[in-house]
Amino acid sequence: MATAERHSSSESAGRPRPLSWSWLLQRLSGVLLILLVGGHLWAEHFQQPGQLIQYQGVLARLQQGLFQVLDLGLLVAVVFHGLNGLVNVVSERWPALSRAAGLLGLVVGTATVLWGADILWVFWYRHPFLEL
Amino acid sequence: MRHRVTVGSRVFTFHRITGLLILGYLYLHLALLSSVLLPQGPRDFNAVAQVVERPPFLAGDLLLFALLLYHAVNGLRLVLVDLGWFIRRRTIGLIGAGAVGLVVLGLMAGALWPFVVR
Repeated sequence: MATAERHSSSESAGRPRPLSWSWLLQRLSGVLLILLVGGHLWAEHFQQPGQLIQYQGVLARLQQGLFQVLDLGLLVAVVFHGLNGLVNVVSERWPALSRAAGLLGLVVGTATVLWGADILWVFWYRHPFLEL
Repeated sequence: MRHRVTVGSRVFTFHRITGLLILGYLYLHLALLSSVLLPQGPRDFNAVAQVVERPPFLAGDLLLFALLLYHAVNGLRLVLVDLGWFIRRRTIGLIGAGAVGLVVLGLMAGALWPFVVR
């Protein structure tokens, strides 16, 4: 990890940044997202090639426990990775705003995960309004 | 404050631009899903699905895939650089990442080709 500290931030600002949870989780979530987003695209577009994505198909997939866990994991990982990345950009451009950006990111991220979970929820529990 | 503009710094700038665009798409994706699905249900879901599978939207999908592919492959390269790989041979890392990206793009083109010639 000493190497990582010296060379952290790669080609960006040219100055080393300290190791942090934000730094570590950004990389872990990034690697995880390659698998989860890849799987998401595969499941949606390549399971039945040439067919439209249909509500019934998505419903059938999301009724399976494995996909519920994977999609919730994807939601949390993608929201964290995206907003943490945005907070990093803001913090580097405007260092004075870094604390405010971090707090705002936390609030917006929590709200976004709840929003996404609300969408998944529709598929998890067959809502009476949503039956054809 | 000015930094020297190198290939690496351009690659990193583009990494951030693609990241911000993907984040923007995430909110578009959630907004579309929740606006269609939550109040109206399956009928409208399927109607919207038919609209977004028309050619202009498919072109958008390809652009999105290109953004994701760039961000994923370069992101993986950045993780390896942080772990100490390619420190002295940064050019090899960049060329390798480019090669991996092209291979995945080729696989994707191969998978999509049957639908193009159909």
